[in-house]
Amino acid sequence: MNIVKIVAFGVIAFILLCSTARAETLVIVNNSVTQASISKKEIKRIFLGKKKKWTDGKRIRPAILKGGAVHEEFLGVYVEKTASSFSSFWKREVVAGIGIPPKGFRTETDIVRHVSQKEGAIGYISPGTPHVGTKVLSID
Amino acid sequence: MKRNSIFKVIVALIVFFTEGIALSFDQEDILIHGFMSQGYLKSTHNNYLGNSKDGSFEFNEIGLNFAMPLSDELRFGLQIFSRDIGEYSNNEVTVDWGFLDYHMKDWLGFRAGKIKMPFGLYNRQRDADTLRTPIFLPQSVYPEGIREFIIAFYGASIYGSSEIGSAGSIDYEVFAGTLDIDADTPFVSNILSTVVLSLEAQGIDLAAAMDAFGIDLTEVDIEVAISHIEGAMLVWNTPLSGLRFSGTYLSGSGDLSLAGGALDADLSLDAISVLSVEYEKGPVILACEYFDMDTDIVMRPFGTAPMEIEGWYISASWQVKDWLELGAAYGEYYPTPEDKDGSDFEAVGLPDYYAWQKDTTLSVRFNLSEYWTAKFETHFMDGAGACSPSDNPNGIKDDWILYAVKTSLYF
Repeated sequence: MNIVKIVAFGVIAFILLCSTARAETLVIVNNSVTQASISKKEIKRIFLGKKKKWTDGKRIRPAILKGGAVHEEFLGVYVEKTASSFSSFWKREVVAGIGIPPKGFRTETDIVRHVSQKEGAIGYISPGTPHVGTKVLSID
Repeated sequence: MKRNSIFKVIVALIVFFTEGIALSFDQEDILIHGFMSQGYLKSTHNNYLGNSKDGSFEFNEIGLNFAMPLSDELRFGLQIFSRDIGEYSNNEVTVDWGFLDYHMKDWLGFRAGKIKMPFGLYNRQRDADTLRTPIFLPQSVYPEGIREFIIAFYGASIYGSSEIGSAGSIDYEVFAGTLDIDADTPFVSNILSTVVLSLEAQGIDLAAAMDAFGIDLTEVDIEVAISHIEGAMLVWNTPLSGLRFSGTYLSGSGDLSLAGGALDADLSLDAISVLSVEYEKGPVILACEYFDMDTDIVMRPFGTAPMEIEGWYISASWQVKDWLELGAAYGEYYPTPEDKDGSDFEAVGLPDYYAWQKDTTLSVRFNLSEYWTAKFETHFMDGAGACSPSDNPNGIKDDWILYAVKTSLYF
């Protein structure tokens, strides 16, 4: 019986661990954004400062988390950079004067609040985070 | 201790003890960032980038930049900068860059003011130590001797970025303007020695000719004015994530004046180019760049002195852990590409190894915190092509080692 409990605990722990490691991030935008979907390529270009306007001409305002698993997963999947190389990329842009980095937030609650309030804003959260006042973009 | 050194120590202590607070001051409309570094150089032989044979702390940078969006399309930015390397710059405070940036569309924007020169993949960030694993950018492509010539220009540029379907995306910038060359720089002091050696190889003794007019070339005033420079840079971000290729091309012209106009020369920048490739995969970055500079100095009435440089390198950096990065690079630098074996130098009584400088570099970087780094680096040098004869009056050795240590903050 003890062995069964141990194995069950281990399986549950493994599932939770895998779930945490592979949690899919949600891409959220301000309700002013008219498009309903976005491609992975577009997301990368937005967060590397190459795409700065939505299709309707409004300014894109990217927001990022300052660290954590959700941040690292988002960068790895969509921007194809590690957190360190992403940070270095924006430092290079700033030092050369050719870019302004995305606004950074410590928590997902903060990023949701910002995206809900700022016209044109885009950010990312984990699936379980409430995101009132924003809408989720589907990924093409 | 100089006043600026005290200031740097104070700032470092504030950042160290208030790490969580001393973040970049990001107000809604104004962004403020900065960086500062202090290093030490020591070479086994040959003074290089300062009095390195005896050890030199004359090796630091400090920068403070501001960026302010004025509208959704228009922003203004400015960076104040100060550096010291050997006998040059001596922490003179300058405007490193300052320009207006109008972003009309993703594929079309405009900049005007003092703009960092697009030159290779890393020139625009060369002065901020925290932005790379090694202390020095490879000197075979980013030589300190011509830094003043490629660091920034006054003028305007058109830039943009565009996807090209399944072929990836391209970034481009086309620019034109002028340069402001400080006479107190290695570039200017090296120009004259290059001209003298080149004319000597053609059988023309410029020093003797000037002596007849009472002009001592070892103490003559030199002024360089670049009337125009133009160029372009194109980056191809390939469909393979992390792989990009780049090409840069510059040209222009100017004037060289010696002894208050007693001797004039035309400076023709025929072609300066850099070809680059970089592959970034996770924590590893591989890079390779090639640099070629083809200029002519027409020293009236004596003749034409070509000033050509060629160099290349390969490098690798690896972020082993969050706190540890390793780097390695090998580069070759030729101040006279048509004489890579040094036979022309030997013909005028100089060692053949003045014709090249081959550099094998090993680097270690410690990320002491999110804002503070420390680096150690060793350069195993073969040749003295980038060493200044004026800094080495007692001669230059062919095999030597340069040690470098540096600590930096970014905020």
